Amino acid sequence: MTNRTLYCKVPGAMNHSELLDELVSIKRRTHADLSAGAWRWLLVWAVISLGFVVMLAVPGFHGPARWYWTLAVPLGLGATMVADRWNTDSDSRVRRRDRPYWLTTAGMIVLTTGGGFILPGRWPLVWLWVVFAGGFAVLLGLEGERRLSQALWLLTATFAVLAAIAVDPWSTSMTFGGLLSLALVFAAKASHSRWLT
Amino acid sequence: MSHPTSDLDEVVHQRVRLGILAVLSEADLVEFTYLRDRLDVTDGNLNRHLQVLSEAGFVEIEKRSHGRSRTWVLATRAGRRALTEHLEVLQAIIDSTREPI
Repeated sequence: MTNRTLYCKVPGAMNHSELLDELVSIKRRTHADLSAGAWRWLLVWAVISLGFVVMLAVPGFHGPARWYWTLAVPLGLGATMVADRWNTDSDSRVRRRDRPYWLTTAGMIVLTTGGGFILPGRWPLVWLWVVFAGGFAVLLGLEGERRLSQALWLLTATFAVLAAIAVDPWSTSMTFGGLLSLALVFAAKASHSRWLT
Repeated sequence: MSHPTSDLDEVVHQRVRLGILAVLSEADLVEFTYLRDRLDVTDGNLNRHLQVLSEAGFVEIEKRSHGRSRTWVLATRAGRRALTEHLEVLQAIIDSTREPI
């Protein structure tokens, strides 16, 4: 009798432990195979983001920089689509669904474009970075990279707070004051109901 | 109090079927040949296990064509839940043997 048949016929803890280890190993290898094609869309959007940073660094380009994304986003989406097509046509036998990726990217475009038209002063630039960083955090989450996604969320939140303080300290303090008041109300409600029960 | 082994689902508690669900818990769509190679089983063996999981409502099997026809397998919500619950039971069994008498 081999170890493999022993796994499920004898309910011994050692065999269950080995079975769990094997399953974890299978999950890890599948995850690695899935991530093999992810570098393509990451590369496309990293180049586009880097292009924006380079553009900001060049004197006299601050005006056009505001419209950079209007051109870059459709180009980036086209390149991502080609990369995705390439991945599908190649011998990729393990895939994730495309729809969440497209919905996230479409959400990023709507939010950045909408914010550019609605927000005043220097807010569109802050909004743009926050939406893109948040969008990338979602995309990393979809890739199953939970730690990286959480780290990016933390960085995005830190950047958003610092940028908001720099752009408009009064509105930022009022917003955080409001959020803190709401949190206090919920905390009071929770503790009150606990006291009653 | 019943032993945790009584909570093990007979349909899921089989090495190949657990392997299939483990692969499908990471990916949304997996081709038949990928499962065969990853789990080191024959076509006939894999077919039989997929049929068992499909009849239990844990997986769906689709034929899709990207130039050539390929068979894709995907986990249903019930299949994902079954795997999660099964792993929890396995962990409980392991933990119960480590508890001091």
